[in-house]
Amino acid sequence: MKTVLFTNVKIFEGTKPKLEAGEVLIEGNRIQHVATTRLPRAKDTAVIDGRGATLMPGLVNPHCHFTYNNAVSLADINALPVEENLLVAIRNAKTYLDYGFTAVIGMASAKPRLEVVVRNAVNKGEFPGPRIRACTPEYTVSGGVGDDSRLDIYVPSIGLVCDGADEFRRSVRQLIREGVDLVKFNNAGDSFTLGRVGGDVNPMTDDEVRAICETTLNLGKRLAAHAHADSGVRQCIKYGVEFINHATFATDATIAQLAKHADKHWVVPAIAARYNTTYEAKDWGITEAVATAIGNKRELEEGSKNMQKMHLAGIKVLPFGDYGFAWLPIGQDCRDLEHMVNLFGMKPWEALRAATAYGGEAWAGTSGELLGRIKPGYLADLIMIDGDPLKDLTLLQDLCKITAVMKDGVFHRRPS
Amino acid sequence: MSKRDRLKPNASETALIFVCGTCDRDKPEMRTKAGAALANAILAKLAAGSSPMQVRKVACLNGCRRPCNAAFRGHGRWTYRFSQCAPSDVDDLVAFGTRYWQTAQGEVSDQVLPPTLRAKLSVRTPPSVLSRDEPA
Repeated sequence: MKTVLFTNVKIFEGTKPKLEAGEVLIEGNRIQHVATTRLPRAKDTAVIDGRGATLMPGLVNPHCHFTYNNAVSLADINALPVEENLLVAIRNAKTYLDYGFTAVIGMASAKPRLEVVVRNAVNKGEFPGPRIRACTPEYTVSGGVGDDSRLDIYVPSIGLVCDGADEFRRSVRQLIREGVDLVKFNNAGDSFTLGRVGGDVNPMTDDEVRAICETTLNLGKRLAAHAHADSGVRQCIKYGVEFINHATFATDATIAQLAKHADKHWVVPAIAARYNTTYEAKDWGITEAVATAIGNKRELEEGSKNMQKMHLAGIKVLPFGDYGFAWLPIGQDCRDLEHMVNLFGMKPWEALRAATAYGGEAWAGTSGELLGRIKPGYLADLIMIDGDPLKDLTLLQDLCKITAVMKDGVFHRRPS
Repeated sequence: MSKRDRLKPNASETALIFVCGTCDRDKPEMRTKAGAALANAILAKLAAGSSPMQVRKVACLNGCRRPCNAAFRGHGRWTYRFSQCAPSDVDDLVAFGTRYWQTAQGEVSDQVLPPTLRAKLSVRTPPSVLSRDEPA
């Protein structure tokens, strides 16, 4: 079995607030030993001298739109024919791995089978990419986020539109038949659909949400929701939705209830879409005044306050999410770690813990797989950083500073 | 660097200048991206002056419509972005960065910007309330 020994590295284990100098031995695709002293060297072990670099678990993105094309609007995403979209998705999968993301959870495919197809191709070794949990497109209702049609004009969009419990049951079964790992639905609007359905509105009935969730769980798959609205978050708790995205308008009472079940849910605020839209989208016609008028700035402020509360309440808040649009393109994702500190009050090591150990737990779910920590028995998904990311989170945004990427015990980028 | 000029990032911070390495997205045929060339020019300037500032070459600074872009930001600090930057702006960008990192919150009055750089200022965002009020 192939062995690799990382020596002269400072280890970020995934859950600890400090780096520790040591060595890490990889056998096959697993971490075999982690030591603060010198490990024995077998004759055929490949020794990698880190020269004091940080060795840390690979990053896990729990809200990944790798099928998106950095478009200006949802309509532009859908205007891309599926063949070209597949090429974009393959390229983005490699970009994510380049940036040290060794695992991602898809959080809505631009077109029904894209995430499944890319996942399968990556798993077969046909293209480089992270481990992928493949998601459906966003399930939505008529007029909800992702439905851009008009009464007499059909507009293909990112949503799969269903109305009523039976329509959802049928469609969810079909997409699970196609091979998805998780099902995502929109039980909230958004500032981007203000006037039709705002972020604090839940356009889905309880029957519809129950139908989606029961059908999905009955078939052994996982659940995620675009849940800005408080009632949406409550539905997620009630029906066992693991991935609660945004949770912007959850009340204190809902947060308290969520805290009681913190081991069953992950909250992914995907705050960059709010921050960048408010402050850095002027070139696309969205000034701060426009962002305020549509409610996006309010989502930023309320969402940030809620994430502060949730973090203090012991709820696992995860970084990343919603990158894939023109003013938050893929590759910029690690700027989220700065937001976790600046907007949510986390310490840098807590942001990195969320990006690695917690992300790994989220990716694994109940599969029993171990990833996201540098610990014996865990998958050898590792990255090496030139510098100390606990002191400078921005290192993870610079490809020049990510000096090695290993996935499943195989180098995607070998240190020079 | 004199005591007066000493940069003052917070204790655990690095004084940085962010440069978008993928500008100009509309010219994918260029072998060396203009943003990468700008980053290299800034690195050369910093090295020549023995500045402790470092360059962070990133995937995007959200100024794609007006390449090339350079930005300054940090914990508890104002965020500034300059667009349509060229190698001819390197001296001004480094001088701005020095001034930026000499102040506790990085607030730099528009009045002290050279006219060319003032015209290129495209983002000026205050620090978050949470980070601003934290002790350094």
